Amino acid sequence: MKFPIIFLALLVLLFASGQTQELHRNSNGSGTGQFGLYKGSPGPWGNLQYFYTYLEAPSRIMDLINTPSRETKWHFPGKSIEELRAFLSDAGVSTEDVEIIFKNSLPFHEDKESILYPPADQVMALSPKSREMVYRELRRWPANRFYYTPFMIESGSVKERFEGTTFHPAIIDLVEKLSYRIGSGNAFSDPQLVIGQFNDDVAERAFLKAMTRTRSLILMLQIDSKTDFEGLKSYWSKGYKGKDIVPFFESATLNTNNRIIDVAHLLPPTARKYLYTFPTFSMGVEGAYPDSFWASLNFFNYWPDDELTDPDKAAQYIQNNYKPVAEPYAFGDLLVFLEPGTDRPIHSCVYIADNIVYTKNGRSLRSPFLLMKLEDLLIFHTATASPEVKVWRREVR
Amino acid sequence: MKNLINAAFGVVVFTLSTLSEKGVAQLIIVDEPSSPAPQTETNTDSVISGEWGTLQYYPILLEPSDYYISKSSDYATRNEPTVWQFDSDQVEDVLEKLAQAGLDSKLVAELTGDKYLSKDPVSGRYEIRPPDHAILNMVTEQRARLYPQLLPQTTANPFFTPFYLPVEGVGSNLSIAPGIPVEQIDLINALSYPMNDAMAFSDIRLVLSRSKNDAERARTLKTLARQRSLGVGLKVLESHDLKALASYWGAGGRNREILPILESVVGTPGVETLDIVHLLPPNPRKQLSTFPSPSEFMRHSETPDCFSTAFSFFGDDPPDRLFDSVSYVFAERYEEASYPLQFGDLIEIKLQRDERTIHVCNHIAGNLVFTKNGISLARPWIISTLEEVTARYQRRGDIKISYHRLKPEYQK
Repeated sequence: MKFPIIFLALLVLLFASGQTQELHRNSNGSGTGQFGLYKGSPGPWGNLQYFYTYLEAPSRIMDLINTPSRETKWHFPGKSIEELRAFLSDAGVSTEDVEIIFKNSLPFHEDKESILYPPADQVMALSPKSREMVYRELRRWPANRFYYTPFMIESGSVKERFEGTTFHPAIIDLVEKLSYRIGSGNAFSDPQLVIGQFNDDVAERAFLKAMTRTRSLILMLQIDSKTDFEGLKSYWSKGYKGKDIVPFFESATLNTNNRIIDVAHLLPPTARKYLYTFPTFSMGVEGAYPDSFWASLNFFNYWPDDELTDPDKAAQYIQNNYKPVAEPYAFGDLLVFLEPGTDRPIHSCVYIADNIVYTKNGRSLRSPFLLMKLEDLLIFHTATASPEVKVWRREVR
Repeated sequence: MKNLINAAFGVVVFTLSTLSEKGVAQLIIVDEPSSPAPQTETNTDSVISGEWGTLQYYPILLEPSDYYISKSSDYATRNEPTVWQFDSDQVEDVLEKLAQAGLDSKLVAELTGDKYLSKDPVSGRYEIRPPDHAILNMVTEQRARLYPQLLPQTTANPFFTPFYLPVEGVGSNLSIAPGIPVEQIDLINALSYPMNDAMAFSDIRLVLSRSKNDAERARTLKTLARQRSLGVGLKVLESHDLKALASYWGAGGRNREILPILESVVGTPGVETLDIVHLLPPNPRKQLSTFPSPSEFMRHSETPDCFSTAFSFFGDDPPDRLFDSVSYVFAERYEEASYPLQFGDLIEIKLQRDERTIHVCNHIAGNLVFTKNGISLARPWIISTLEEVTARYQRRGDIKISYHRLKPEYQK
C-alpha cells in the first residue's frame, strides 16, 4: 500500500491526538484448529456466540488470477548481495545452501534491489525458524506477491484448511511442511512449489482456489424475553438508521425462550451487503478496488464513497467525520493500524463487539470482507512487532 | 409513514417438533464450561421444506429508527393544527363539499364561519382549521368521502398520503407493546376510515396533540409505521445433501459460493441453523428488514419501489436504468419461468381487469418472497409469504400471478 507524503503527514497529525489502546488479547477460540460454538465475553453488546467458517473465492475471481510461476523468486529491495549473504546466514541457512542459492540463482542486483531465485530443494530445506525469519523479511515488500500477502491459516491447522477437498495427502503434507508461524496462526507463501507437483492447469486452479479459503466467523446474539433490549439498542444502534432494533428483538422473542439473532442484521446496510463476500468486478470500475480503508470508512455509508480508496481523501474523511476516543471501544469505532517505528497507516478495520472486527485485508480481489478476532488481525499485520492501534469514533450528525 | 398491512399471516405447514434429526447428544459444545446455549428449536416457528432445504421462520415487527422518525414530516408538524385545504377559492364550493361529505348543516355553518375558515395567502384556496370536536364527531363514512379531496397533493399532507393500517386496525400489530396509552390506540382506530378496501388514518395531528410529550408522539408514529416481516433460518443437518442446497441457493453462479458456509454449519456442533441473511445475494441482503431513509435516497430521482428492488435482486446497487421503464426491463431481460421456481425468480401480480402490473417480488423458497410493498419510504424491504403479499394487492381487484426468470444472457 503506497501512501503519498501528504497523506502520511496528515495522518501523523491526526493520530498524534488519537488514543492508543492496549488491546485485550483473549485466546478463547483462536488457533484451536477445531470447529465449535464459542461463547463471547460478557459486555454491553449482550450474549454473543460465534463459530468459524471458511470463505472461498468464486470461480469468476479465480479465472482472473495469474497462475504463479513454478520458480521461486525473492525480492530484497535495499539490500546488496553481500548484505543478503549475511542475512541468510544469520537466518540459519547453512553455508552450503547459501552458496547453492547464490550459485544457482544468479542473484540480480539493480537499483539497490537484489533478486534471488532459490532452487526448490533449498526452499524446502529451510528449517521452520529460518523460514520464519526469511519470509518475515520478504513480507515487507509487495513485489514478493505471496510473501507480502500470504495465505493465512488462522486456525494453525493445514488439514482443517483442506477439509472437504480431494487433494492427495502428500500435497497437504507439503503445504504443512512449507507453512510457517505468524503469531498463533500459520501462513503459507510457496504455492509455486506445490503447483509444481500437478500435471495440469485444472489441478493448479483447484489448489489455488482452496488456498483462497479465508477463515471468518459467524457472530450471533442470543436473546430472550428477559434481555435488556434498550441496553442492546444503545450499544448496537450507533449511527444506524435502517430500523429500530428493540421491536425487532421483542417480536423475535415472542413465544420462545431463546432466539439467536445473526449479528449481520445489526450491521449497517453496506457492511451487511459486503460481509462474507469477495469484491465484484464492478467495484473497481472507477479505478481502484476496495481496500481496508474503503471498507471501514464506508461502514456507515449507505452509498459507499469510492473516493475513499484515495489515501488523501481517506485521511481528510477521518478528520472531518471522526474523533479520537479512549476505551471502552464501541460498535462502529474505526481502528487504524500503524507500522511500528514509522507510524505508516497499514490497515484499518471497524470494531464490532468483544474484540471482533469487520475488516477487508488488502485490496486484492481474493480478499473478502469478513469478521475476525482483533488478535488474529493484529497477528496478520505483525511483521517484526505488533502494530500500534489508534481508535476513532464517527461523530453523529 | 403510511402503512399498508394485510391481515393474513403465514400458514404453518408443519411444526419443528417433527424435524429433530440432529439429536441433543450431538450438540457438543467446544469451550466448556463457558459454552453458550446451543441453538434451540421452538415449537412456534413455521417450517417449509423442499429442494431449498428446510426453512423455519417466525414473525418479526419492524419499526423505523428514531432518526427516521425525527426526520419525518409528521413529526416536524406535530404541533401544527389540522388543516383542510379545498381546491377552490369560492366559499360555495367549500359548503358543497362539506355537505356532500354528509356533515350536518349546523356543523358546516360552524366550520365555515370566520373562526375556522380562512384563505391560504399563497394559493388563494380556502382552508378550514377544524376544532377537535368537529373531527371527533365525524363518522367513518364522512371521513372517507371528505378526506381524499383535501389538498395539497404532497406527502406532507396526511389526507393525501394517509397511514394505511391493517384492516383489523392498528391493534393487530400490537403483539409487542406499543409504548403509548391504550386511549391513543382506540382514538386511532376510531378515526380510521376505509380506502381501497384498506383502513386509512389521517388525523395524526389531532392524535399527536393529545400525547403527553414528544417521546410519546415519536412512539405513536413508530407504532403506526410498524410493518411485519419474517425472520428466516435454513436448517443445515449432516443428513442433508449440501451440494444440492448450495446449488439451489447459489442460483447458477449468480450468488456467492454457498457450500463452504454450509459445511461450516454442519461441522460445528451446537449449530444447525443458518440465518437467511447469509444466503441472499448482496443487494437484498443489504436491504433486508430496513426502511429506506430519505437522505440516503437523495442520489436517485425516485425512491426504491418493488420494481427496482426485484429487478436488482442479483445485481449490485439498483441501476438508475431500472427507475426508467418497467416495461422495457421486463421485456428485455425476463422470460416466463418454468417450474420448479428458482431462487430469485420474479413474481408478477397483475390486475385482471386491465392487465396492469401492480407488484413484483422475488421468489425465495416455498411460499416465501422478498418484497418491497410500494414506493413509500415507510415500506421496508421484507421477507413475507406470498399469501400475505397477494392478499394485500387483492384489495385493488381480482389479480393474476405469473412467474418470470432472467433470460440466459442476463444470468451471467
